Amino acid sequence: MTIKIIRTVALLAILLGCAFGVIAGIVVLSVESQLPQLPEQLEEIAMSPPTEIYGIDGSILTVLGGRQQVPLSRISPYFQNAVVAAEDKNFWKHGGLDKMALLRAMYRNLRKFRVVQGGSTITQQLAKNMFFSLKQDWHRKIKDMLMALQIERRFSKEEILEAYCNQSYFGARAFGVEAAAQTYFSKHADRLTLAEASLLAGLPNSPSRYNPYVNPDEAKARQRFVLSRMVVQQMITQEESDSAFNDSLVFRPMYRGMQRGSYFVDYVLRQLEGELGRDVTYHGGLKIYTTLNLRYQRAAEEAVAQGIKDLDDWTGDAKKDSMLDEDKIQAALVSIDPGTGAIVAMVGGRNYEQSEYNRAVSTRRLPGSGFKPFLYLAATDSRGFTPKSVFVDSAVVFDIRGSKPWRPENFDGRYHGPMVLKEAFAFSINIVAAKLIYRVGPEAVVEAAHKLGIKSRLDPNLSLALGTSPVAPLEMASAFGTIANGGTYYEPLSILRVEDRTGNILMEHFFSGTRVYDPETLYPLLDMMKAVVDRGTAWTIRRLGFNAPAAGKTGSTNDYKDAWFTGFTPNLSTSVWVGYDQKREIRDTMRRGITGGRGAAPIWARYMTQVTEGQPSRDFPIPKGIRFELVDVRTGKSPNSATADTVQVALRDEETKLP
Amino acid sequence: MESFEKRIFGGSRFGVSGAIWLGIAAFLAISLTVEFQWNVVEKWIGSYLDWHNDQRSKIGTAWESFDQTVHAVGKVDTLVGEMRDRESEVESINSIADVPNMLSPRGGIAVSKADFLRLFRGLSSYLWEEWIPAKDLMRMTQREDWSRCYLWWDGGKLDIYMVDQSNEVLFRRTIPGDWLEIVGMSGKRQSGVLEETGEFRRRVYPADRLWQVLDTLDDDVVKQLLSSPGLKEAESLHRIGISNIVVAGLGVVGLEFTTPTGFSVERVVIHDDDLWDLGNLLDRGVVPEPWSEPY
Repeated sequence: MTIKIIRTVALLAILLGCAFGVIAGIVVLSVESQLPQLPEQLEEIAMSPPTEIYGIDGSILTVLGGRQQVPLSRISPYFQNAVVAAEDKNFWKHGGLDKMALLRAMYRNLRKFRVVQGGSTITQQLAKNMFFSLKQDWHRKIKDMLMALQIERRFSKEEILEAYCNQSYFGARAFGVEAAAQTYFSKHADRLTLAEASLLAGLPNSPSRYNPYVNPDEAKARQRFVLSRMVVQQMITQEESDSAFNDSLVFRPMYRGMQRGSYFVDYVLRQLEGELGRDVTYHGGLKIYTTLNLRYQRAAEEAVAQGIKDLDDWTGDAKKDSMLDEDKIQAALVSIDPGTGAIVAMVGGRNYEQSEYNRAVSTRRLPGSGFKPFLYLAATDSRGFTPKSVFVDSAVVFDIRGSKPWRPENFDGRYHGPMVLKEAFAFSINIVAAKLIYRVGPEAVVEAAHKLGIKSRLDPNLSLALGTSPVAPLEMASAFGTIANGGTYYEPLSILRVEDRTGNILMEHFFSGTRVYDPETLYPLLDMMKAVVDRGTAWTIRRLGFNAPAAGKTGSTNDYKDAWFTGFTPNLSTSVWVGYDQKREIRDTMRRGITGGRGAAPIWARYMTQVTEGQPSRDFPIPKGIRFELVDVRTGKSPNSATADTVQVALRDEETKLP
Repeated sequence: MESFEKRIFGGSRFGVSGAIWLGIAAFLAISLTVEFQWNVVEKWIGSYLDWHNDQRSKIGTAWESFDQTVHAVGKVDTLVGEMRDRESEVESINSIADVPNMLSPRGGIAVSKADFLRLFRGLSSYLWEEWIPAKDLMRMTQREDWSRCYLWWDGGKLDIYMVDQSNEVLFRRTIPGDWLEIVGMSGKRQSGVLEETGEFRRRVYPADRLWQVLDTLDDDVVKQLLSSPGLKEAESLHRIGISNIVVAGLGVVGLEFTTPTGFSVERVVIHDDDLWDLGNLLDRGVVPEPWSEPY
């Protein structure tokens, strides 16, 4: 009976063995040609010089690609053990495949008839990371296995572990344990403690899920798992495990800083791709020196985050649990140094991780009244109007050939009677703007806008006065910067220079300005724009405590789909846009529309307050040939006993001499 | 019921004794143990694959990334090499008019302040005054913050940026390519006579005519004509030709010299209005009417 059983088992084993041998042979022969060649050295083909992007103060913004290879002797033994315990407890024994783990995985996968469990060894993972896509299928799995077998034959276990540690992705753009140790703990890989090593060793399995900044609880649970495996493997004692788990980890605060400016980094890379090509940009080992000021960028991100939080509360989006973040309100901010055109801060949306679409540059939205400065400039430049010219705010209809008559309306739906242009500008009176463009001509407005720095195509029609041609925040900041600096247009600039890995300069950009207006031509407009901030539609800026001399213009479309504020000090021009990607109306829970003054100006104020903190405030220089005059708001003449309200206007000398 | 063994081997004719079965079982057990202990099959497969390694292609993500890196780094090195070549080429050229050829079809180069002044002064002030007036150039030369100059050739024009250490542009000029091209002809010499060059065919005069009218010409024009290497070296001027081509406000005077081997033609570039005056003088051999604003 025993012999019979032995005979049967032996026969089955022979048959299974033969079948396995034949199948294995067929598989090896049929897949062999699809397998990649192995290099002489594992790190040989993983060498990729990093592309480093720097801010204007020399601080590093981000590093793309590149792997910091370190020998095993410079990797903490804690980390080596933690990796082996977490990923492949039989690493030191197997020949590339962990047969028991594989049989377990095969059993589970066959039951489900799909790949649900890997059973991959470190060598297989290395093969997968190096040569294959992340797609889970049987075909790829077989290739991983075969490559793992060859890797084991060609390289020592130490070389394999070293390559694995240097190749793995740990999240936060950190490839390799050295980069991970630097990124998360600001130390070298050989200095990692047990607590740090066990946390890092858990990351390659799912870098985003176990990201300690985003999901600290999940990261901690993963660390607990790794430590427990190390205890089981008798690499550490239970006491050491508990102690390491309870250690409070000190993460590198700069990590968040490295994520800053991602919209800006994208913007820079896109420009470089256009000039140098994609390969050179990402794999050429470039050092890219940019204009971004990290302190300003932090302030911009914080201001936008706070502004969005307020808007979510006002609109009620914060309470809509079913609403996806990307469907919620968006904001963009871009800030330029008017003296050079350098872009010092850029935020392209509420969350780069959720939407990489850069609304500061790529989106073109209706500027609403934010466009009026170009109209007022065209009017005061050469059409004979001055800030004290009087217009009557009353109902008006414009007949437009081939179109319906145009009946502009004020934002508040009321009429305010006669008033000087400065007053109409400060309170953004649409009807006065409509009457003004009718007198000035839309072509002159288009010309003024283009001269100041607007690049978008503008339709020369009357409604242009109310901002019906879409523009991007970057254009607005740039154009207003030209007003801020007294009439010199600087092309917005983000890249200062590009060097190769040994410091040779490949490309340089210059701060090059072109004078487009005289300071005395612009100053009357600038003075009107100061009134917007001091007492007009953007008075909330003063309410929020920003007291330095500033000028700007709010912008809100009639249907409340876009809210803007673009403003400047002598040193900084900043544009803020707020709106939904889906072009929905921005209304609070009481159904009141949210204007630029309420939605965008507070973001601007918070940003500017933070970046100008501690700096002496400087007023705009008054050019020669400018004089001030106190006039009656209603008549534009010198005040008299009948005057109810006065306003001080800035006039060019020749204007004051006019009758 | 027929045994499993019989069904497989077809009866006792192929049957084996119990002891052999035990041996087979022991061999299998040992084989399994050896395999689990020493991974023999994996090693065989691994060795086989390694044996064929060189016959396989360099495919897969790491090789693709490697190729991209090699390509990108090679391209960067080429760019750096080109820049190095240009830098050394700058030292070998004498005039700003030669820059477009060096940067063609598109490109830029940073040159030192001294190199820029050398290149610009390679032209006579009579010509470059139009683009950078002498007083502006003097003012710039005195500025200590002017550190270098960037020359950018693109779309048929040369942009000149004089910049400080922080890349702030202190002075900028754009010079049309056709102007540079015609200026580049100045001082160029070729063997042959004026008639062989189409542009001078219609207006060729004996050298005496030039000497006759020389005193009546504007000083700057005289200086420009006398700056010709041939006249400087007192070669024998045989004839003079006036070009029928005027580009970018400039025209060309052809000077034909007698040489031991025959004749050679040298070009001198002057402003088109001066060329017009010179042509009239050579035609008539008399002092032209003073120029006046047309009604």
